[in-house]
Amino acid sequence: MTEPGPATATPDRATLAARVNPGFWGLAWRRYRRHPTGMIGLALFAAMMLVALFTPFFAGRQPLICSYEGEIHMRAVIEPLHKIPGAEHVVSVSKPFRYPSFSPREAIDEAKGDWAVWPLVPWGPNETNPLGKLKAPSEAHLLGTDDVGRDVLSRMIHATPIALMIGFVAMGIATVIGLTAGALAGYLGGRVDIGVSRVIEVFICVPVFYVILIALLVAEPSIWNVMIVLGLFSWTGIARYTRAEMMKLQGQDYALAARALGASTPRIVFRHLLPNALAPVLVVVAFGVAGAIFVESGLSWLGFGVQPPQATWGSILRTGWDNLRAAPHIIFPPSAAIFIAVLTMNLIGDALRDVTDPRLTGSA
Amino acid sequence: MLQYAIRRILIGFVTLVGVTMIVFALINAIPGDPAALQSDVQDPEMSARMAEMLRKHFELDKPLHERYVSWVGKMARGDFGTSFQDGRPVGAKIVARLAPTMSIATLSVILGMLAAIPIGLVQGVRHNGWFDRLSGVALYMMFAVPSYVAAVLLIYTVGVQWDLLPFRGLKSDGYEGLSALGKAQDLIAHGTLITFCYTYASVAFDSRFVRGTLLEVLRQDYIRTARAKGVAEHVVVLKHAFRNTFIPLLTRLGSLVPALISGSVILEVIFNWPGLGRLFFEGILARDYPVMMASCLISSVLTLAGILLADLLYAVADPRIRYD
Repeated sequence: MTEPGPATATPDRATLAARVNPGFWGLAWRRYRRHPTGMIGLALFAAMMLVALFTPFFAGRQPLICSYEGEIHMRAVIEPLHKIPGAEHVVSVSKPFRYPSFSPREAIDEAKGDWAVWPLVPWGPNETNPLGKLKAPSEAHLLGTDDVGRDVLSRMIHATPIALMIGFVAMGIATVIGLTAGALAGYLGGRVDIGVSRVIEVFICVPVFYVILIALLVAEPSIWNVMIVLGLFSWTGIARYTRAEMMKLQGQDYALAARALGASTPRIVFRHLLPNALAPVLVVVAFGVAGAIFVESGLSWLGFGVQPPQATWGSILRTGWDNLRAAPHIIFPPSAAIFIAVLTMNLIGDALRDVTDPRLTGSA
Repeated sequence: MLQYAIRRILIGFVTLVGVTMIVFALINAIPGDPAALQSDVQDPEMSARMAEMLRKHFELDKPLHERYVSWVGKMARGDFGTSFQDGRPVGAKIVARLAPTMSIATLSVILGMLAAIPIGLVQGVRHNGWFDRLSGVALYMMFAVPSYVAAVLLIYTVGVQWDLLPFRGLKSDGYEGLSALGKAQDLIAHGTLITFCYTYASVAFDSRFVRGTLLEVLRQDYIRTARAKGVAEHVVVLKHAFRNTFIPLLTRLGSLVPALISGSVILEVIFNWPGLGRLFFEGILARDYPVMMASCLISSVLTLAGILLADLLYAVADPRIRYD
């Protein structure tokens, strides 16, 4: 009779299919992992995200956790939680630490049995010191201080989430507009296509940087407005790629099949076709994030970006420029940060193109 | 070809109307009133009266569409209006600023190509050799440095620390007293750093582009044929392959021009360069609407012209491309 074979668990169909066919994105990820420069980009990106997500652990004037007059306080950890709506009812900052005038650095006295765990950089980004202006790097201030005595390293760290957020939110807005406009133009063709193409052409000829400056005068230059304006003026590249992809895809059999089954136009476009047009668009988005960070720093430099006292890489660079002879040390950290951020996104973008372009990957 | 060019120019006019309408509406939506800005004196009553007069003088009291139509009408007659700041004709201001910007832009395109083509060719020929790898990495890094960052770093090292080159403005203070040779030297010295900042990123991009196209072209059959019949390698590369890598490079010109013009604001402000970008920036700070409109228009026109020129050159260089 049938001998019991080696013990093989019979996997159900879904897991079997998943094992045999990792899918387009699964394959892309496998190739990405073997892409050295792509992985360097990803590692740099992870490092920046780490700084951005855990900013209070890296720099701030409040201790992460401390014992003050016999009680435990955790202001630096609790305060960021308050950005979540309603969180202030659950956890609140305990008393003396709540007051802006309270200086934990002076109050915490180890001789009285207090102790504290400080962030890596124990200075606040907006903590001024009239006696320590434009000081060169020292042990206390690793990257020196700026024109009002603020710690440059702390400001650099606190500018990181701003830069990343602007890059990604601006490109998120651009992606939504670009995908929708490009997909509809490419799929519907005809008048919609002509209309969208004309608008794209107008946007290409608009002197983008000029118009961004004007738009930031119209809308107050808050961080959200900077993101919105940057997003509104950088969707054309995404729209053009999406449009080209959709024109290729709309003639495919599966699009026809979906139409024959009576699927609505939005369903065909957004559910069936768009996911297949996403790969080349993703590459454009990665480069776009680099571009947005690049432009925002330029705007901050001109004083049109995110407003002071909020630290941004561009505004720190500007401070360095204004004090070029007295304190040249200030220009280097923001230069390096902008360079690394742009380089990271370029590396990721190039790697994404390499791993998702079927013409380049061959049989791999 | 001529028909194509005419059609493109006509479409270009339609595009320009779109651009100017957007910009005009945006500029006029800026909160704050240039008339009030200029008439701020001690006596509030006097201020209000002056603002009223200025508003009438600037035609700010008329509705938006009327002002747009009158602006287009003046434009069609070549009248750019008068500056809100000093009452001088905007046309003259633009003309004065055109040469510094355009000379840097042209120079940067030419120098960029002159540097990028040989680098890309050597990289492509010695594909994966040490020069290819080393210069590839260096240029890739350079491409990630924003031009204003490079400008600040270069000004600090070359301009301040080593005191080698001037970095403020177009000429030195004693320019008028210099001999012709001295004048030329002075201009070149002032233009060196800003030209470099305009150029290096496109060298990085274009050399990669040349390398890529060359590698593709070198795989073609006609190259194998040329090699098989014993043509010397340098002739194969320079005569057979290079000509075909040059054609796609021409399309890059079209996208380069807008980037150069639009990217000029920060660099011109940093270098105090009296160009279009800085004119616009000064205009924006003073809420000088006619100057802002005119600079936007000029840069759109130059962009359109750049794209059209690239497309036409493309057809001239490549007989396979025909616009009929």
